[in-house]
Amino acid sequence: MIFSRILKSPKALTGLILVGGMVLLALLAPWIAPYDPLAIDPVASNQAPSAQYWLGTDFFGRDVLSRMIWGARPSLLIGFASVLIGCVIGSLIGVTAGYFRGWVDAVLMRPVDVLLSFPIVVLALAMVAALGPSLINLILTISLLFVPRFARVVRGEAMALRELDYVEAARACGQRPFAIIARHVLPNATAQIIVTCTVFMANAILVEAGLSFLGVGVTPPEPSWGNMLAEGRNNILGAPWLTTFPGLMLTMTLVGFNLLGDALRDILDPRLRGLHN
Amino acid sequence: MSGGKDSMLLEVDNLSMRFTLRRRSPFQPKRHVHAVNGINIRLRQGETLGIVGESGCGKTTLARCILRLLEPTDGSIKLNGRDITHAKGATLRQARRDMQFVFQDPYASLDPRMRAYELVREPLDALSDLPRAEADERAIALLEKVGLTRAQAKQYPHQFSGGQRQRIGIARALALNPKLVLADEPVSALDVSVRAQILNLMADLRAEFGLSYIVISHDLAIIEHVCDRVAIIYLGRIVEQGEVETIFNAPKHPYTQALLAAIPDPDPTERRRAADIQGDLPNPSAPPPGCTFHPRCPKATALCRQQAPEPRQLDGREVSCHHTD
Amino acid sequence: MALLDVNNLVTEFTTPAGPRRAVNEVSFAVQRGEILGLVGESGSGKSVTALSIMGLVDNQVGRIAGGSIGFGGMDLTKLPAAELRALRGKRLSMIFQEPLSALNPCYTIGDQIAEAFLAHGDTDKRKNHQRVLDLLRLVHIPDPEGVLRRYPHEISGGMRQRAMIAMALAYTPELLIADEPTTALDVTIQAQVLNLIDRLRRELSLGVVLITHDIGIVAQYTDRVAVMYGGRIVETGPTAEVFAAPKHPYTIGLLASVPRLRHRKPGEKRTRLQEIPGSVPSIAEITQGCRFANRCAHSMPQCAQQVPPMRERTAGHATACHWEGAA
Repeated sequence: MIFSRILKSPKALTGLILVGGMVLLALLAPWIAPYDPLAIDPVASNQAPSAQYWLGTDFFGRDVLSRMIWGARPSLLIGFASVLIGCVIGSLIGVTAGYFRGWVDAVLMRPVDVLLSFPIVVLALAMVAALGPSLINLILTISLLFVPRFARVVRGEAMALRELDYVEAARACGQRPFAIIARHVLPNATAQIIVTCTVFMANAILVEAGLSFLGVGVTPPEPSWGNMLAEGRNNILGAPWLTTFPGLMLTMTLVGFNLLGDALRDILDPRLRGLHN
Repeated sequence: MSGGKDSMLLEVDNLSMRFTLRRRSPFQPKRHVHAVNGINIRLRQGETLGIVGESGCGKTTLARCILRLLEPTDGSIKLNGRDITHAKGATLRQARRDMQFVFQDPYASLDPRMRAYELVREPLDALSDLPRAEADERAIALLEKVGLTRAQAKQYPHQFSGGQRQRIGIARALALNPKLVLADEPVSALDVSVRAQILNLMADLRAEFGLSYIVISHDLAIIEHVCDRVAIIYLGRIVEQGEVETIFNAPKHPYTQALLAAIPDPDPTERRRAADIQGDLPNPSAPPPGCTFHPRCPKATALCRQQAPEPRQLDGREVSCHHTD
Repeated sequence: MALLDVNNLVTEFTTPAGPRRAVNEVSFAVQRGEILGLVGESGSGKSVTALSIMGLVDNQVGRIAGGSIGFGGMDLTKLPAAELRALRGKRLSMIFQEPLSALNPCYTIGDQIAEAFLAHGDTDKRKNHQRVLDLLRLVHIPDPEGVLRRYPHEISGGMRQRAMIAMALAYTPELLIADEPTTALDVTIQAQVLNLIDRLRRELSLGVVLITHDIGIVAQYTDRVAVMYGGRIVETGPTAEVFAAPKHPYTIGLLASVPRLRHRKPGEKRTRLQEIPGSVPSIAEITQGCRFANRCAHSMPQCAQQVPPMRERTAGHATACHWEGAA
């Protein structure tokens, strides 16, 4: 039922195609990329796009197209994984705080507020400095950014849902609080959680790109859209292809996620459900 | 403790629920709202009681207190002889086996993500030891009892009409075989042509299961049809209480008289321009002194402004008024 | 000549499943000084009828697809939007069910009533202020000067409804449409508001279309009644007659199923209410023939195939039914 509505919405379809396209690109990288992304060719340094290197080469003569395709991997992987982890932990914290209110809410949300008050980049830098720049650490760092944001969103949902008649009906039936949360509150918050996930994935990818750009994300020579932007930054006028194409990929991915999230919000909103039927 | 048909099922004594309003600053005095103020109710097994009042009178808060969805700030509630006023946790949940609730809004009271039989089964999941398969069967049997089919049991709430959803709500309330069912405006959200179905259903179930009802409604005709006894509530206090016929045929409290006079009679030959009483409901956080009804009462005197009347027996009912004549 | 003459009105909505008629060949007339009750349940089309008359159907979702609305010698369905807007609030007005959402919370009562004047080009502030005060007194609002300055949430529901009535009467219209004006109000306040509408009807010679689902209100406050079901009128006539001798099975069932205060004697046995089985059709369902057929105790094969025509049975009392018992 939801799939048919997704297929009918041009916004959702566009978003799905963009995101899906990127995912496919990342998965099929070993077979699609014409060159080894790490292969150096000093002779062909900083070449403009040509028949041989479709999107040109960078300073080391590495094929920009291949690096761009392979660069999708860490970006998307970090995006998905960190949001997933943030979602699970953050939602559990948020739903508990929002349903119980009172001291439980206070105790759970104060650390969340503290985390939220750190600027993203400062927190990320600190974490990477402490833990080291491996892929796992990067995922953990960025997921730490999203735990409090999910907690906030889901807490709001839980606070609204707990006032609904059917939640009160469950209480009147004699259900235990955690059963009520698991059976009634969380399932009805899922729509909002999914929408938030798509939007946050766009953010996560952007954060990763930013961190890589600053040099504390994916370390060279591994390509990531972010560090490609960093390397090409010094030569924007001389070799615009170095920054334009990774930037374009980044943009399209973000647009895709945002369109998808926007469309899903309309599709999944129960208040609009009547209109669709 | 729980006796036969004539034993006292519910005893509510001096029940009060006081809410504290949020102050703008800690220097302002605390303001309270007595949503429910000194309510006394006695309900026997098998009896039905109607609670009548307009918006803001506290009837919904009263229902929630009796069901212990709220903890009262004063007074006591005894169900089947057990004091549940401050019960918590497992004791409270066990008490819920005996009293259940039917909600006003059939659209909001059913979780849209659960199937009909799952909704009816939930009380059994929460409070009984029935194995899943047996609980399913009992839920389906209850749905059939309220007029739905086995095939419909697997459907989702949005696939049912308002009247059918209310039936599901009633089936859910019966799952644990409660002795008391509280219904908050059970038919006001339904289409007029469907209300009779639900009211008849409630009467049939009462006869079959020996249920006691407390029905909250602003519609006096429904109360007269469904209930044995009635309590009229104004601003958190009961102003008149007794047998339905006694009160509706000869109301003694001016508010009851005004309510009855204000209802448009569905008989055009009895053209009576509904008599209106002046004024609006006062602000519950600043109730008038003395008798709370005196600003709107045609019989009010200086005494009414100074002293709140105590309930007393008169002509077979209990009424709180200085000027019942 | 009738003040309002609705003739075979058809209003369609676009749904995902195609166009559906919310109002299906509806005809009725209202005279000056008369209150016509439009009775129906959800999906009956009564509110859409009112919106159609006022020209307030959102043209993104629906449109008038047929028929005519005669008012003051014009056909409202054929009027351009600007002319209709000039009439609205001046010669025909509407009040709605929920005054809290019909009033803008950001503006005072005085400002909102004055908006009626501003919308029609009367911008003299002092004069408007006086006219607003006069209107508030007309609708018996206590302390008009004080209420003028208050916001909607600061006054009670009954007063808000009176304020809406005041707004609707700004230019002393000829026709007033009241869509469930008291459904959201308590019964004691309901009486005040309905008595007010009745009084104004007499003083100002208004024609009133009173839309409601409450049989008691229909009995006490209307001169004539039109019963609607599933987008069509099924019975119409003088209120006293329709109540005394209802002809359409739906009207019969409706009147019989409503619980009434009977002043039972103590110990007198309760009677079972008469039920109408089934439930009200939704706008999405298309039925050939009579929409009430699937719930009707007297339905015949003909009912499911052919829409029964509206026929007058006794003077002024008409019904649309194939059943010979409806004669």
